[in-house]
Amino acid sequence: MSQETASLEGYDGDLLRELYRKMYLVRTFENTVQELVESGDVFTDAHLMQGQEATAIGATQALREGDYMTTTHRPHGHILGMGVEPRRVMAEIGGRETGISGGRGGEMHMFDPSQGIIGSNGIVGASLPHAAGAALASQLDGDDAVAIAFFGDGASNQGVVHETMNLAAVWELPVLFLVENNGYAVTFPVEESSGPDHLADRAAGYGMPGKTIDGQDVVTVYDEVSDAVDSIRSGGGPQFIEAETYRYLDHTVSLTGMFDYRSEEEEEQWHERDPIPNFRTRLIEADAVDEDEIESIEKTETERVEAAVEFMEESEFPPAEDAAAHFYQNEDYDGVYQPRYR
Amino acid sequence: MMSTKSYMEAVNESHYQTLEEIEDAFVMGEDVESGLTGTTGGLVQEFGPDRVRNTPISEPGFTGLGIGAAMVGKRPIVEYQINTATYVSMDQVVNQAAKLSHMSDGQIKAPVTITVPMAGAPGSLAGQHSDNPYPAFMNYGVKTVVPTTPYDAKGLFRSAVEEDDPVMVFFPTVLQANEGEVPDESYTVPLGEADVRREGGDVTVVAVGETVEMALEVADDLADEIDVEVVDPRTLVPLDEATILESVEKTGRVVVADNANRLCGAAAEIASRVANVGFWSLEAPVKRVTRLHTVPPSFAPPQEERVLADADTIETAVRDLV
Repeated sequence: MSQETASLEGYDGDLLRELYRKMYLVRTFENTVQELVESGDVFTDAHLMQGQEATAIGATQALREGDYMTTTHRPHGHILGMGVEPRRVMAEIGGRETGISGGRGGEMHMFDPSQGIIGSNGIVGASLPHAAGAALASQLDGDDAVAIAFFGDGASNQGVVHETMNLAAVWELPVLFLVENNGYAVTFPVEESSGPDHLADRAAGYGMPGKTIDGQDVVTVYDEVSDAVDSIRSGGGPQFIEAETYRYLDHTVSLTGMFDYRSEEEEEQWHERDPIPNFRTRLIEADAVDEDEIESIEKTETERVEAAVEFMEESEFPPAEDAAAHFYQNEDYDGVYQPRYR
Repeated sequence: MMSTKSYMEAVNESHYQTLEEIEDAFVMGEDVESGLTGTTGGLVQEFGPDRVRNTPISEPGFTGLGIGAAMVGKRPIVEYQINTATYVSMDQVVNQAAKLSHMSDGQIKAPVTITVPMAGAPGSLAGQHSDNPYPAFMNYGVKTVVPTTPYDAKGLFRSAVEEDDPVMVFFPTVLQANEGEVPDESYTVPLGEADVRREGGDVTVVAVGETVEMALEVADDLADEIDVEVVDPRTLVPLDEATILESVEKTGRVVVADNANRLCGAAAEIASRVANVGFWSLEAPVKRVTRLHTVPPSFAPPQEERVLADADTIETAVRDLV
C-alpha cells in the first residue's frame, strides 16, 4: 500500500511520534552536516542520506535491544536510528575525541557495540558478513538476537555480498539483508549494473524470501521489517528486503552538481514523495499527532542538532601521541608498535 | 605427561583441547568436518557440526562471518585449505579484522584465528598453491605466527586463539611429519618470544618457518668449523627483536633465512632491524636467504628447487660471513 492511502488506524501514537521524530532528526542532522561541509567548518566531505530517512528509521525502529546492525558509508541515519546521541555522531564527523569512534573513523566509520552497532564500513559490501557472523554467534548461543545488514544497490554486486547471502541461507542465520536501492552507485544507474528487474528477485537464488517495498513510507518499512524480523527471530531463517528509495544529494557533498546522470523530472518525482512532509501531513490528517506536538518535536530535535554542533566544536581532537593506541587489543609486547623513525 | 607426537598430531590435539576448554571457540573452513588438512580430524564427531563447520568455497564470506562472530564475543578459528586462498579475502583480513579495533577506538575486538595448514611449497604444486603468504599480512600489522616444532605448534596455536586480536597461524607443510615431545595437556607458548634453537658464537642464523630445520642441519654440518647459533622468531608480528639482537651482539654476523618471497619479506624486516639497531655489533653485512625474487615455484622440480630457499644456500651465506 502506498503512503497516500495507507491508514494509520490502529498504530500506537508513541510509535508514530517516534518514527516522525527520528526522521526529522536525521533530516535536520544531515542538512546541518551539509552546511558544515559547504562552509568548510568541518574538514571532511560527507555521504548524506536526505531522502532515505524512512528506510533507515522504519527499519531500525523494528529492532530491539540486543540486536545487531551493520551499515554502509552512508550511515548517519542508521546510527541515529539505533539511538546514538546526535552529539557523538556530530563529534565524529568533526574528528573529535568525543566522537562515536573517538575521532578515528570520521563520517563513514562509526561503531558502538554497546548499542549493537558493529560497524558502518568504508568498503562497499564488506560489512555484510559481519552482520551474518553476529547472527551466527546468536544462533550458536541459542539466543534470539537478530542482525540487520544495510547495504546499497552498489554493494549488491560485490562478491562477498553473494557469498554472505549464500552462507546465511544454508545456515539459516537470523539476519535480515536490507538493500537501500537508491537507484545509483555514485552515478551508475542500477538498471545498468544489475540484471533483475528488482534486486529482491535475487533472494530466490540464495534460497530465502525476498520482497521489494516502498522505502519512502516509514510505516510500510516499519511493518515489513517488523514482520521479517519476527519471522527471523523465531527461527525462520534469513530474509531479503529491497527498499526503493532515493538520495536527494549527489554521492557526496563535494560532488554536488558535478555530473549529469539523472533528470530533473526524476528528482522532482521523488521529492514529491518526500517521506518527512508527507508523513507529517498524514499524522495530522489522521489525528494521530497534533500539529502543536509535531512542532514541539521539531523544535526539540533542531535544538539537539544545534547542541551537537556546539559539542563538536568545543571538543578536542584526539591527542597525536595516541595515534597507534588500540591497533591491538593486546598491546603488551616490547616494541609492539614500531616507530616512524629509528 | 609428555609423549612423542608429530607436528600435525600436536596441532590436531590443540584444536581438540581448544574446543573442549574454550566454549566460544569453533572451527570453520572448507572440509574441516572431514579433517582434510589434518588439523580437525575427529573433531566433528566430538563437538558436532555447529562447532566444526564446513563452509562453501567462499573465503571472503566465511572469513567475514568469522570476524563478525568474533566482534560479538566468539573465538572463531577460520581455516584456509590452500595457502594462497588468503589473497582472495585480503579485504576482510587486512582492511576489516586488522583495522577494526583501531578504527573503533578500541571498542571492537575481533579475536579471530586464521590458520593456514598448508603453508609453503609442499612440492610440485606449482605457482598458485606454493606460497608462504605471511609477509603480505605482516605488512598490515596482522599478528603472525609460524611454529616450527610440534611443541610450539600446539602451544602457539592455543595462544593465538586466546589472543584478543586477529592472529594468523601458518603451519609449514614440510614440517608436519616431524616428531617431538609434546605435553598431553593443553598449554600456551606466548606470542612475541623467539627461541634460540641452537647456541653458537660465530654466526647467527635467524631462521623462519621451514628454514629452521635447514639452518640446524647446516649448523650440524659445520660444527667443526663454524659455531652457528640458530634463532627461531616463532612469531613475526610481534617480533622478539631483543633475543635476535642479543645473538647479534654475541656473533656480529647474521644470516636471515626465510622460505618466502624476498621483496618486502619477513627476512627484509628482520635484516633491516638488525642493520639499524644492531649495526655497531656487526662485523659483516647482513645476508638474506629467501626465495628467488618473488618468482613462483615451477611444477618441474629443477625449477622449483632453484626458486626455494635451501640448506646449501644457507651454508653458502654462513661461509661468506666468516
